[in-house]
Amino acid sequence: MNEKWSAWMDGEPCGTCGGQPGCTCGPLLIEALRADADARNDWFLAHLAGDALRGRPVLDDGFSVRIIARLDAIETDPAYDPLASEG
Amino acid sequence: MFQLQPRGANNQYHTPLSGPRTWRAGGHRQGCMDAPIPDPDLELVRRAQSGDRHAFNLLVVKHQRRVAWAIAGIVKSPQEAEDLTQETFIKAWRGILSFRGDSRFSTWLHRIGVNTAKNQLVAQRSRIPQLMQRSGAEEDDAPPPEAIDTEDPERLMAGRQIAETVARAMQEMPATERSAIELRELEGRSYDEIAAALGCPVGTVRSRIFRARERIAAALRPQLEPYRGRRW
Repeated sequence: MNEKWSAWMDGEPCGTCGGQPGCTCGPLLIEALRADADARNDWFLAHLAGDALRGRPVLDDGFSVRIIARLDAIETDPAYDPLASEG
Repeated sequence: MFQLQPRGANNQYHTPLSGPRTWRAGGHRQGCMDAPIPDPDLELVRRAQSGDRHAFNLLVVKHQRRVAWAIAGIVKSPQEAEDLTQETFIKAWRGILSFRGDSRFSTWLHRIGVNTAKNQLVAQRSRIPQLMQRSGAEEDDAPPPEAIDTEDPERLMAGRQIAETVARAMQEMPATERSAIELRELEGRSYDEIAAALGCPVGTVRSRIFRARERIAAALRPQLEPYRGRRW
């Protein structure tokens, strides 16, 4: 985690590019998160900290792993709208 | 499984220095005339829409607690809340191409979760009369839905400890950093607004928020290390 990535997580310009098109902060962070377990841990901790401040339940002892494992077997469906399909 | 706090619990943390602070939901800043903050999830959503599962997994890790919290306010059982949260993300992934950016991604996800939980409640209510007819006298022995609680005390304790660690880190950090992270995380303010409120350049806001996050993360890392391998 660094200052630019922290800003990107907030949807803010990184400070180097001024939020101009072609800013590489987002893509670089996403690729780092793909490759680096420590970066993923930082991503988790940053959002956990925000949620803890807001008083949400905070412990994840395998919850996201279970969701992601289930998602592996699901394909996107261009015809499916989760808000239109049910009331 | 998630920690599920009692219904009606305030979304608050308290520090001696700052007093109670309350999070205000939504992508628009309360009482602010400015344009809404751009959706910070948009780049990840676009990648997910192009088939990038990793990008969607990042959104899962980010939003899992928010979705679970909303669902836990509707259904009673922690296990059921977890199941419905999983269901919500499955629906969102399957239908990710239907997200057009008319609202923030978090709002869209929240609506899917609430609808999923409400539909589950409706289905349960329609099943209860049938079950009572079949069970006869046993129905008097069945606990009311409110009495069903499978919460694990150890998990509750761990959740409380994490909340205490965050609160302590907030108390111990410099007031300038604390103010910046509070305005961002609790008030949902943009960096420009925080800079105006605190009377400093935007670059300073960026630094303070980053440093505050680093302090909180450093406090949490040792505590969460045992869970790391089970997380993601």
